[in-house]
Amino acid sequence: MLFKKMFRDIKNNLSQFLAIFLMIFLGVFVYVGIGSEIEGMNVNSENFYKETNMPDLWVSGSFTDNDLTNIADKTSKKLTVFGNIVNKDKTDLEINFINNDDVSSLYVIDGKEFNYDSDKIWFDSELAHNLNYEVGDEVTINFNGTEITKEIAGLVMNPEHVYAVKDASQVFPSHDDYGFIYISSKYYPLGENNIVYNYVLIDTDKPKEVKKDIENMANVISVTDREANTSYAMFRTEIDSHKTYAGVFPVIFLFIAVLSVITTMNRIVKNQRTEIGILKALGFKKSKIIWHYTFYGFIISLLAVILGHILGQTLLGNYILTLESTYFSLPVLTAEINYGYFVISAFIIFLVVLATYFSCFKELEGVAAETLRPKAPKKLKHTWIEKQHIWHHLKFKTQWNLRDVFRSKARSLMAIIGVAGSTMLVVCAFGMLNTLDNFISWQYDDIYHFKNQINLNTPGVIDSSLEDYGTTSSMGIEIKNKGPESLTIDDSGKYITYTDYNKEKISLKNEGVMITEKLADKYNLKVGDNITFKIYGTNSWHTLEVTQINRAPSAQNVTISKEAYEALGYTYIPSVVYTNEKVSDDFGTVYSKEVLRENSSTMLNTMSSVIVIMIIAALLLGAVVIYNLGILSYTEKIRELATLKVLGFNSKNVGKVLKQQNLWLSVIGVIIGLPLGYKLVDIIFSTVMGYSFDIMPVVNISSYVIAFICILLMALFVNVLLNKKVKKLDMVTSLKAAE
Amino acid sequence: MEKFMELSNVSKAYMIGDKPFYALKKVSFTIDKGEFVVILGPSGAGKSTLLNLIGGMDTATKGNIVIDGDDITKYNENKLADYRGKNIGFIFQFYNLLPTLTVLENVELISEVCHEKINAKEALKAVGLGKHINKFPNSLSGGEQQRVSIARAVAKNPKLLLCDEPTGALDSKTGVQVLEVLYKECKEDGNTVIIVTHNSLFADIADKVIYLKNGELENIVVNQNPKAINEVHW
Repeated sequence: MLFKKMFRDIKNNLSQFLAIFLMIFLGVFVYVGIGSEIEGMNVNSENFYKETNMPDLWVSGSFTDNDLTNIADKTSKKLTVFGNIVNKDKTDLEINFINNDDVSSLYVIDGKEFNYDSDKIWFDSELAHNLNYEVGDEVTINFNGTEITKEIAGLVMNPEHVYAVKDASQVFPSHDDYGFIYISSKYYPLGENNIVYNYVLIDTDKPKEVKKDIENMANVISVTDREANTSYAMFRTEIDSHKTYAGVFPVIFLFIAVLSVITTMNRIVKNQRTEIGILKALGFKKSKIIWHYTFYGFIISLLAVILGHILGQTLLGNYILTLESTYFSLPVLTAEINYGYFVISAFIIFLVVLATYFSCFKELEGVAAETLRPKAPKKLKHTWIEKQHIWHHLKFKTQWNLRDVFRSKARSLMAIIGVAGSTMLVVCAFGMLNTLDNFISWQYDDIYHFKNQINLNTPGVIDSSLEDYGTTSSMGIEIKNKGPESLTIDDSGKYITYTDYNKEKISLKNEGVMITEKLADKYNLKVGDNITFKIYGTNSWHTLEVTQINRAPSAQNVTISKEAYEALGYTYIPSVVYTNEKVSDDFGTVYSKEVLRENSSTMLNTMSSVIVIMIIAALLLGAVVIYNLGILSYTEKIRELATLKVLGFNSKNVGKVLKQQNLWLSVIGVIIGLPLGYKLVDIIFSTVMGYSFDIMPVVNISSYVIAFICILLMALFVNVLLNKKVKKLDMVTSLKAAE
Repeated sequence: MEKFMELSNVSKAYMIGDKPFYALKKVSFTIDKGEFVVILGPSGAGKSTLLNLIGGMDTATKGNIVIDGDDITKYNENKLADYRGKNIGFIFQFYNLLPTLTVLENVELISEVCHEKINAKEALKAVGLGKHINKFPNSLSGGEQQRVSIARAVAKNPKLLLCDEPTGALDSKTGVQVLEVLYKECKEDGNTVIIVTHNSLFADIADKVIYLKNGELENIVVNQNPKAINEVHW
């Protein structure tokens, strides 16, 4: 019978039920959706790495077939050279001659497995897709002046090319003009026995020990682990950058939704006081009554959580991954969840049930007769505001609303928190868009001042027709007792500006080194400290003073002037040229600043799409929260509203009374929420981004204005809905019902 | 006496499932200006329904209700609200005061819907509550609260005072006090008063008693010599 009562309660208060349902659903939907996307990237990449034996160590140097064979269970050797496809000048190829694919295996999408004895090539499946190559096609490639033509045996993916960029200087992957191929070393064009491998790939469970064993061998230049592998590290960075929106935002989103639900459940139980009294008077046991009400909370949250879980993962999670899948070469990329999400969802249900339990328990105290009567109203006192002279000049609705707000502090507070929270999320989401825009303009307007960038084919060989240009060169260094970093030698002149905290220009000094602020934070360095480093491939350590700290949005590195670099005894060989002049691509790959900017924007665009989803979700949550509060305050005041109607107020005027309160509370909530939104953007970008990007939190004025208008529009829209309810409000029944 | 109100063939049906249930069936009567009228009947007789129709809180299914020359069954929602605001004073069994407004504000509220004809403070003084105007309703006794609601009703000097079991929640002594205030309103200020009750003792004090049973008009009795209120006890 109580079951029947519950379903009728749900039916009679469908709007309230829906509001609660929607809040939990939205919270879980966004939380699980975004979380499952990241988890999908994690799980799918880890599975792929495992399946294909992602190397644990990369040993660079010069090796023959006989070197380093028994160092670990599994080793593979490869010679990596760079070239391009003949007749497709723009397409750069990484060409790998390998002795086997035990480590860093080739994952076949189409065609045959790798075979040492087969004189064919295994081709990057993504690049093949973009170039319309199929298994069986013949491709002619060119490297170091050698041309070879071979048949494609298989289209493959490879764990070292999940995040397919040429090197760390190319921030965003592109499968149009860059790819990799694999060829058996048996068919090395210069002869099987003349091959000198430049890498040994090692798959081991004990990378540290193995590293120690081989580090000092004569033909070894460096031994690096996964963190130093470009694809691996950049994919990790990519996952980390997703944490900008995936970390704090969904948690707060969920928190606001659950908070609203819990407080609403509390009010609902309170409003059922008389019913509880009747049940008690009829002789129902306490436990049964409690069960009845907690089950109500349980069933709503359970349904909402289940739906949120399913749709969050399948729709939102997979949708976001589809936006991004073009950037990553993984055979499987689907949204995944781990048991942690189930735990959190169970915890949400538990919280809702617990909150209902406690509110119910409170109402059940005392004897039935007492519970039956409406709660003895609190002794009303005149608040300070009523003692002001101005009070008597206020309109009735203002007096009434002011008192109502002060008397139902809990509900009003919850209204303000709910609206402030939603506003915060909306501002935050907009702010993230602004911040990404600012990130791009910082890099391309404030730092870069060239028209074209040329990544030289041969370092040091520059087009002699160029009249004015600047250059840089980058190399890997190891900072003693700190870690591997990148060193940029600067001779860029006016073409690159270094900036400080306020994006103000700073000029690079000729002495010492300049490090970015993120690096300074990471290693706890400040101006005046010394760092000791060695350039990979050399053996001498240098100690230099940190003379400047700069800020840069993306590359976090150490910068040294050409003069200071040469003072260390090295010859400066530029590898990248910057100029405003027209350039030919005979000497290297040319990127115009606009192309670079566009590349960056494209990647950020997918992030923007996710953020747009978040804006919509936050606005929806805001709408539901405001709607829920409107319904709640309407239900609690129904008798007074009916009285007003009886006294001759028309529906419009009664609606105005409600509207005034809702608007006030919304405005207060929005005003509190605006600065909190900025704070949230700040937290997200400063704490979550880690050390690879330095992103300044920016929220444009227009974002505040839009958030303000959106939330208020929603409040007004909810008022329209409430006005309809007021109009339908039947005076006779609502006055009678309460008697 | 001048005819103030005329009901002709007023019916009110509620749909229960597919079938109409008649709470009122073809009720007709007239009431004169300044009359003190009691509508009597057992519970379920349709008394409150009748009162709600007259007060414009509900609309009749059939029939006409002409008040002071205007047929209110032709009114739309806004006009009804206006009608209630300007012409009708309601008094309920459970007072229906707004708990968050003070006694004075509850009465002053009237000025939002019609031109205040009697000063709120005066109205409260008249019902003997001059001292309590800044208290909140729930700190007053039941009788005092009912007197606030009377003050609220009479402050606009309504043409018609409608009272639904006004003494239902009160003890005999307070009930009599409340009735006396209502009676005074009627006889001294010339307002028409209609009281709905199931208490047959009220029949003795009314100018006119309308008996209802099962939604139908049973009888109308005109008292030539109504008893004084202080002679009534229950």
